[in-house]
Amino acid sequence: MTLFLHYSVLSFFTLGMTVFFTGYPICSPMLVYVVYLGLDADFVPGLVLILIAGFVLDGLSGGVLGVYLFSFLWIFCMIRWLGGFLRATSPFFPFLAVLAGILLENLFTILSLASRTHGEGLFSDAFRFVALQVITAIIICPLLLTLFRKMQGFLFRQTRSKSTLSDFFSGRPM
Amino acid sequence: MFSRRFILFSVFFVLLSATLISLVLSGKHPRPVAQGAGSLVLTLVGPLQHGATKMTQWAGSLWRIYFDSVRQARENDFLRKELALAREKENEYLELALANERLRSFLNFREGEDREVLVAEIVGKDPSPWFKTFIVNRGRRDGVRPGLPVVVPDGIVGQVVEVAGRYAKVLLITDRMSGVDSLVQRTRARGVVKGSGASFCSFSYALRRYDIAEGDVVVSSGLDGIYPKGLRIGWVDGVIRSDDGIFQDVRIQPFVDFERIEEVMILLLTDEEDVDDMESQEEPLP
Repeated sequence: MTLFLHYSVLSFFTLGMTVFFTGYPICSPMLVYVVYLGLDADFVPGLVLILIAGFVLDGLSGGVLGVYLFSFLWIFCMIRWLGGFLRATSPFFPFLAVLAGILLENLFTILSLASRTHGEGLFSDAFRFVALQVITAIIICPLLLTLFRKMQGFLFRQTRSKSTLSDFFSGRPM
Repeated sequence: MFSRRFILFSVFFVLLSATLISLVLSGKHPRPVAQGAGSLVLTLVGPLQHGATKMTQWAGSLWRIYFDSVRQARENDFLRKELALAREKENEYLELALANERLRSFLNFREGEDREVLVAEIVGKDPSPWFKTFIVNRGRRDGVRPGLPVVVPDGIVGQVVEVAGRYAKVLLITDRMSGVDSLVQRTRARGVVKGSGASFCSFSYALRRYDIAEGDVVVSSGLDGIYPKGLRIGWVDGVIRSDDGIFQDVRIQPFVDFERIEEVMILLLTDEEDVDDMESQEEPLP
């Protein structure tokens, strides 16, 4: 995808998360996008894009600066690193990466909140949020990843990346 | 016996005579003659005429119905468009009326306030479920600075925590990191309204000996240096006095419906006003 398209997707998700579907404990589509960048994008443009995404979301959020930024950065680096010696084409790999992202995002939030508030009800909320985010990730993650790859294949006629939902679940390389 | 010419002349004269006699007689007595053959013709032809007339009328009406249908279809289309436009207008007027109502309540509140008030529109909300913040379309250029209280006529919304040129971030009182020094209006019992991260708040540090009951209104005390004294926050939704500890657990339901507000007011307090509010301390009544 061109840089313009990446920025359009970033803007679209940012608007979606701050204007239309705000504050719902669902799997963040931006996280899936970060996983997609980690899997398919080149390192430097991908890194720049996830830094922008993290910075924008941190700026719009009421939390401390770095919750989104560092969780995205960790996930991106983890995918690049693990992709070097693990079977990154496995259908569960991106899903596990999204799960790890959800856990990291919530962990960073809890750490930042615990140091600034009394922390009453933090863990019950964390459990509820993580559970809901994982459930929604089961639906959102394959859908969005397939959509991103389809879009990429359509725009650049990459026959290799003709992935479908059944590919995702059957374990065929996408 | 008779020649052909003779027969022709005879027939001619008979017919002429009959014609003349008939005309003369019918001119003197028209009815009796007509009642015979005329009535028979009428009886025989009348129904046919009637049928033909009906057929003509039916054909005519069919033609008219067709044209009427076409005209009505056009009219229908036109009226549908008119109706859609009218509905759109009605919706627009309804929105205007609602906005007018909101702004009127803002104006009434503003008239009651001796401070300068800045109306701002909410343009975005927090992307994380953990935090409760709004982005409003007023910033440093409008005189907004961190720490200014944000209210609506129903009560306190929160405070400004970050300011950019044209936009500012508002921390809601329901956020975990929010705290408002408050009083129970009826008994002047003092505590801190803290956000829970959900739609309600808690009234912390309220001593067990304080008289707090469900339905009591909680207002700001003005002692935190952010919110002026007497601004409405919420009402007591539940009180739990456990056997141990020195504080009671009080749950507050904010007056403001944070999911539905579209505009807010930023109170542009001066530093002197902040100091005045800090000085006006009040002792809680047991």
